[in-house]
Amino acid sequence: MQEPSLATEKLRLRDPILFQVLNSALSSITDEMGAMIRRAAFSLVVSEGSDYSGTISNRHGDLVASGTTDLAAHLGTIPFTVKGTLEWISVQPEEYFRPGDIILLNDPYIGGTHHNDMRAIMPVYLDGRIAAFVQNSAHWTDIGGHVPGTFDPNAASSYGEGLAVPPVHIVKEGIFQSEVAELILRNIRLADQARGDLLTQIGVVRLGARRLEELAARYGTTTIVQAMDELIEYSEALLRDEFRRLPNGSWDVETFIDSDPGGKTGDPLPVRMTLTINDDQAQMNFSASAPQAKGAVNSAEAVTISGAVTTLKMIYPHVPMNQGVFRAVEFVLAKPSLLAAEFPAPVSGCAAGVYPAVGDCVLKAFIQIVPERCMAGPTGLLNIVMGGIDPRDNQAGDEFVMYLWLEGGWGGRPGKKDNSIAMTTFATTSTNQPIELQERLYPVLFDCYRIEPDSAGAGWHRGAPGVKRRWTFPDTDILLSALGDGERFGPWGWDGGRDARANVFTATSAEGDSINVGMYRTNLPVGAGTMLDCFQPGGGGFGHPFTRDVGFVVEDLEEGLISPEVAERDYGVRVVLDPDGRIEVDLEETKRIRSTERAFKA
Amino acid sequence: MGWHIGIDTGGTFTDLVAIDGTSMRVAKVPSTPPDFEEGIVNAIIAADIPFSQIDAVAHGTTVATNAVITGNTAPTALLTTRGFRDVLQLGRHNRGEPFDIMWDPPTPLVRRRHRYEVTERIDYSGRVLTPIDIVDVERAVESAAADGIESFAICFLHSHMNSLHEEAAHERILELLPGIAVCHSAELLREPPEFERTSTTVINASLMPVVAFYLGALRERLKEAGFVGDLSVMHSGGGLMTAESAARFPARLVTSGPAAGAKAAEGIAGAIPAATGSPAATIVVAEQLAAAEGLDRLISLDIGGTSADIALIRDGKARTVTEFSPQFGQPIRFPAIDLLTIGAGGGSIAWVDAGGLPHVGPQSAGARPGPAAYGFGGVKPTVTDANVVLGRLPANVDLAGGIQLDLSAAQEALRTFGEPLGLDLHTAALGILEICNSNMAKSIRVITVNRGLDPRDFSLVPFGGGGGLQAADLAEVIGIRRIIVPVAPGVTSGLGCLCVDIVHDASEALITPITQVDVAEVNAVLARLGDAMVERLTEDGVAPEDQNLEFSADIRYLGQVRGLTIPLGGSHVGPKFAVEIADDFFREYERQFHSYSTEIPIELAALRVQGSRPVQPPRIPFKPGAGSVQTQRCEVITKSGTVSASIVHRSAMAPGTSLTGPLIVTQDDSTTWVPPGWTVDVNPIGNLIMTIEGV
Repeated sequence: MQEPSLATEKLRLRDPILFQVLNSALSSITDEMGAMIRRAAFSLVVSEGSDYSGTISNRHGDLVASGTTDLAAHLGTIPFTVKGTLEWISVQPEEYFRPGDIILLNDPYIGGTHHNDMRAIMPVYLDGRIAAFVQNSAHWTDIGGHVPGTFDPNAASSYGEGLAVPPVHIVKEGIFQSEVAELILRNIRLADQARGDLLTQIGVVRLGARRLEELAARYGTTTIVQAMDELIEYSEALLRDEFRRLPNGSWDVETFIDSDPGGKTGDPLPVRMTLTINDDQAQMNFSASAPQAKGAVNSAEAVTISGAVTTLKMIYPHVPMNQGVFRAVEFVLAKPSLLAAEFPAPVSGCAAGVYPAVGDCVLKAFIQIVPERCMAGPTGLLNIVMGGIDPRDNQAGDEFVMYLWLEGGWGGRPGKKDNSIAMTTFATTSTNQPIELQERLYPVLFDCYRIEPDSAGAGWHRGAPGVKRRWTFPDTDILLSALGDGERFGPWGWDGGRDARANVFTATSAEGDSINVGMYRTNLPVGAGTMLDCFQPGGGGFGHPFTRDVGFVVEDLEEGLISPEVAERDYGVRVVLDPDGRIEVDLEETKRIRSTERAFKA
Repeated sequence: MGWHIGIDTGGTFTDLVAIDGTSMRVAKVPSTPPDFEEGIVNAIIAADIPFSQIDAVAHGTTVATNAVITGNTAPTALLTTRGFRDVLQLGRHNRGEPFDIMWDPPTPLVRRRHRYEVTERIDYSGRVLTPIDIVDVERAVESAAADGIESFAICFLHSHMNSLHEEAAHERILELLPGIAVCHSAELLREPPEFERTSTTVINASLMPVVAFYLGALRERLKEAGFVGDLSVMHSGGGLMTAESAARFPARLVTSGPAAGAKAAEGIAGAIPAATGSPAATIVVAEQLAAAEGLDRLISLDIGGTSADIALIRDGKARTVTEFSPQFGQPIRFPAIDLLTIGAGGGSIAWVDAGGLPHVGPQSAGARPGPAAYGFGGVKPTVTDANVVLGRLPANVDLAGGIQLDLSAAQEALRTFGEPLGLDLHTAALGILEICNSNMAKSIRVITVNRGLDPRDFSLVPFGGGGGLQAADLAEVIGIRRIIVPVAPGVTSGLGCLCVDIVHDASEALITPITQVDVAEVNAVLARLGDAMVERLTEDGVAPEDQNLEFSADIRYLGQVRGLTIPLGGSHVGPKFAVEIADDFFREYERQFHSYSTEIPIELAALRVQGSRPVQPPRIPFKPGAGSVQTQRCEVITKSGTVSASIVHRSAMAPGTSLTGPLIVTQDDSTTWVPPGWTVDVNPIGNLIMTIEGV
């Protein structure tokens, strides 16, 4: 009793209220950073699409806090970015940085995602020492290269994926380094927009640093530093506690990426994971996955691990997202490989290929252990970039680049009815870019943006339907590139649930000639008036659709989510329309169809 | 001068404050759901004010908010541009809980089968690409009418640039169904993007029949009683609008608070009305209290019968939001005062779940049948019954509205809660209060701690009939050391309706690079905005000398989506406008965004005007009465045992009085419990300042 135990020194035991206040104060800082970039960003993908993140790391680069609206996939990579930067400078941070410094980087091989995600990092000095780093990422619409919008599925190497920026000072002791800025801006399209976003990002990290200084002035640096470290311990403890409740064992799962756009065979690329639970420790071993690809469907290690930890966060949403989540899981990756590419392999497709595939593996493993926390396959991601000259009077012949992604739906859940429309898990926090703003900013005209009937994965609990967009550039020719996945494999159903309809992206010219644009397209010339037609999948179904409540099937019919044909084919429900168009179920026939299928299965 | 009446209808009580220039009257009567207008008439009668001598009634109501939260809006159809009928359901495609697989969005207010597509198209600049096919409108009307649709919302793409097609559809619907409720988006707000405008329009349309019916009934009832004055309604931004405007723009009556209250009430049938009809009214009063007391950090806690509204005042001001959602995915783009509503109030029912765990609320006994102790036939145990059993609401003191408390009914109700748990009466009652307090404490932490603020730095201001009963226990749970009980905490929202006044906003887009701005054009737009605003204020009956107009400009960097609103300081701009506004913009930009650039060109985006009638808010004066300090004593049960408390009437507590707990302060509109350890001082303006040492 004489010696104070270690535990009683913990802030969260000594003053749990203060601990909680600081926890929230830190995430409130990151939320304020998010609110600021949303308000002041220049590119639509950031201001309306929410493709950004703002984080706080401790002095070692461990992730401490992130904003509630931060892009999901960024979060898992931030530890790699900050730690990677500290490794890159290879001296003590205090020797390298001065107060007021801000560095800029986007290098996927130093913890980045794709080159378009530009990151600003600012060291935070408390009592004369670096106590933390604040970070802001924003997706720049273009970062150079031969593709407007930069995404090139057929890039042969990292050199073809736009400008790579290793950690460089953009601000030195408060002074903006315009030569560095000009070097970057000279290499990219839409330099004015990027200049504005850069300006905003500098402001955002300054805001974060200032707020941390204010917090320290109020509560003391020691307390703040202690709170940051304990937050990490807290998350780790929460997640380990969840693992401890699971049975020990191993689960093997696999999923597939469509193909290697640079490969010869066109064969699907397997992503395999063995999950091992051993008391309070989890291991995710991906070493049996495909080797490194020739085309840009690879991922550097950071994005792969981000795919796993953010999916864990979806299964255990109560665990605050920080370094603690990483500490509770051991990751095993073969190097080099599809999931841990080595420089200079191309990696632009990491967001659409590896990230969702890794997430699918995690879901497929955990749906076998804790089904009530999981869902069947969610929608994936397709990045579409389009560029050309804006012919409209008020745009004075300026070059434009439009970045579009599509929204889909999530998979059926064992624990709850159906599921709703949502973004890819890469970006669950993102928001769509409104039609009215896109049409104001670009010479584009949308023909539709709607729910696609008959597209959901059928099931006892079905997935959400997918989404269809059709658009043209009525008065101008453009170049289009597409980088996605999921054309061959629709989001997976589980336990008898059907897969959802796969991705389709086509172009039909004004003359009526139609081509499949597909998932791996570089600089396709698209003539004025060509109708671009893209379907983004919904989610896979859970449980056999013949067991679905007939009332739910009728409701889906009445809402126009399924057709009578699908009601019969997928759900075994026969309906007839009365003369007024009202739906009536033929119960006899339904019973017969449903029992046939059962008999067949048995 | 005749009487000016502020009257606020909450779920349980209807509060009234009336002034006639020389005197003031207050009244508090039970609300009369579902015919709330009866309670209003009763309140005026209780205050003994002749209807014919009333000049104006300013009214706060929960009718609109309740309808949205409970889904009891009118069956509504939506007309959209062809290809875009799912905009309402797709929303912004985000999730209320981004990572939570089990999260579900609320059901859209218009079902997919009642969202009709119309062939028509207008481009981003307002140019008509495809003329409207009115036959599509006619088909929609026919089908909707057959399905019993009572209201139509119209939202076409880019209608904020050209509302021709929306207007045509609007007219055609009225021709086919004369008198039916219709609204189109351009008459509500002229700004993108499409989802937020659609959502606002749909909420508005689905409330039109509800609010028009209610206000019609109210006006009729008041007229029958002899009232011939003006009727206006409090909106969520903390201002008033005429009853006619409210019937056209009922979405303005929806408050920002109920999101959390609605969540608490998930799966429970019946309404969870806000504590008061217009929580914004109470918050306006709290702001004034902050100014009067020289405090800049207050937590305003308004505990009603069915729910509690919590708001935060920092730097003397409540936060305003320009967009809010009564529920996730239902944005309303109107300015509103920010607050949080939870389903915890005096009428909250204590119950035991199937697993044997005790809960309090969110279901409430409301005004009828009310708590068991009210003797209106309620048999379920409520928070109020617990207060009666514990002696904090002494059974021999009459409550507002002539309610006499029935101790044995309260005891009987509490037994049904305590016995299955094996708890004696007093332990059960203490347990109910503890659960209720911990629910409220959690919510107070949400609006402070979750924003990085320490609630211990704030003073707590209890409002409502039940605020004072719970404030001290709650403060102890959170660690707050100072409570300020206003002079008439029970009728503050009624007072709030009198404190606020008419405020209108209007804007016009004018997109020009700042270097090419034509000063004459700017002045022409400002003049147009100003003239329209003067007309609107005059229509509202504001005398020319009382009209206050403030002009501002939206400025942004070229290419930026959002910008800053910079005040202009007058109704016209001078020849150096471009240079001056740029300087102001850079200064404000650096202040807000911590960096700025003079290299990126800036542009003018819009001009704005706000028109208002500033008021000198009335304050309820402290009126000393004849009572002596120590009049009665009673036994109060606390967690640490039974204590003997004095009962003091508020009117006996003259400024300068200092007393220590245990103490019960009674007054006509509320009761305050001062536990042992707390000191209560009466300050010069009559407010009670309760403090405790070292929590």
